[in-house]
Amino acid sequence: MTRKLTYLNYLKQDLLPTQWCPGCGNGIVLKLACQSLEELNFPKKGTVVVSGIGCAGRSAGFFNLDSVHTAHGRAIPVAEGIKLANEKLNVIVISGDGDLLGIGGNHLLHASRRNTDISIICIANAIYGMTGGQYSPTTELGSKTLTTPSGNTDTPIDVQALIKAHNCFYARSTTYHLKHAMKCMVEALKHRGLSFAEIKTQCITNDGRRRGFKNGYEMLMYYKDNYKINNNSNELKHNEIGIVG
Amino acid sequence: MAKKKGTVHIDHNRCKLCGICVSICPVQNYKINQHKLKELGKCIACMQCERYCPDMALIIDTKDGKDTPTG
Ligand SMILES: Cc1ncc(C[n+]2csc(CCOP(=O)(O)OP(=O)(O)O)c2C)c(N)n1
Ligand code: SF4
Ligand code: SF4
Ligand SMILES: [Mg+2]
Repeated sequence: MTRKLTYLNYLKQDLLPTQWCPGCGNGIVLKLACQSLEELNFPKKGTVVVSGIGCAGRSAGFFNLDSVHTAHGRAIPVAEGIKLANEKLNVIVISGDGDLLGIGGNHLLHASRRNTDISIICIANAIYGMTGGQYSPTTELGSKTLTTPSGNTDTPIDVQALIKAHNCFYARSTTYHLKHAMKCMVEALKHRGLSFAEIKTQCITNDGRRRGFKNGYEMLMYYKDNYKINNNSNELKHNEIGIVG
Repeated sequence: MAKKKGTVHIDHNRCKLCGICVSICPVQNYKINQHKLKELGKCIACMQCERYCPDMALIIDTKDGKDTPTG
């Protein structure tokens, strides 16, 4: 008999396959989130997932949990409202870098200042995937996108510094580093107070291809070669991944 | 030589032919042929394809229920 993927119980399996592109990393984050929920034995009743708008923003709807698909940029305030209304709920935000750090950046600023007890998983693909590949707040310097055809000249947002300034939990990983990324999510879910797990995730269609990557696999290998795990610092350099909770 | 230890189950309704498994498999167990993912019966149950598949389309069953660790 075929083994069952038990973590899929956290998803509405009849909605699979997702509408994400072949090789998109969002599915890997979705899967890791389910595996983390399973590891922590999160109850289906009493756990809420909130997303904003974007490819990543589609995440909430796949969970076999109560979920809200909010307006663009507003996942965090809606999550805060849910937590405020019923503090017994586990409230999880899963959304994109544009959604959480661009249009929704001000909400993150103030939610972290308030240290609201929510767990945020940021699918950081360094692009606005859904709208065709405009640069995002996490686009690296020099990176070519639809709106930065000669290379990005704007400094990416230092979300680690922002979160740490308010003494909240911050972790960073990639979709290549599966075990590490899951550990980041598990720790973020366990943390009391605001936690932010930034997962570098490949968008092959509207980012990778424009930068010369042929497929999702090549982008995973880029993460493998370019991000190093740092377990011994409370400040990650830009090419490091780790937990600075 | 490693002998076969894994049984591959492909959910063709979920598979989008992204090719991550084709590239990641250490024993080249997959190929995409006529718009369909095929497996060639060489699986050593390293589990990499199942772990990285973004669409949860692959399940590897092992005889003894254990994985063969790879480096
Ligand atoms: C108020 C508002 N402004 C702009 C848009 C258009 N829009 C839709 S998704 C998106 C960007 C999403 O980027 P991100 O959160 O990084 O998600 P991704 O698609 O990369 O996963 C934008 C600008 C919108 N839907 N609503
Ligand atoms: S456009 Fe990019 S982020 Fe959106 S589904 Fe496709 S690969 Fe994923
Ligand atoms: S489990 Fe490993 S050896 Fe078997 S098909 Fe998948 S990647 Fe190849
Ligand atoms: Mg994005």
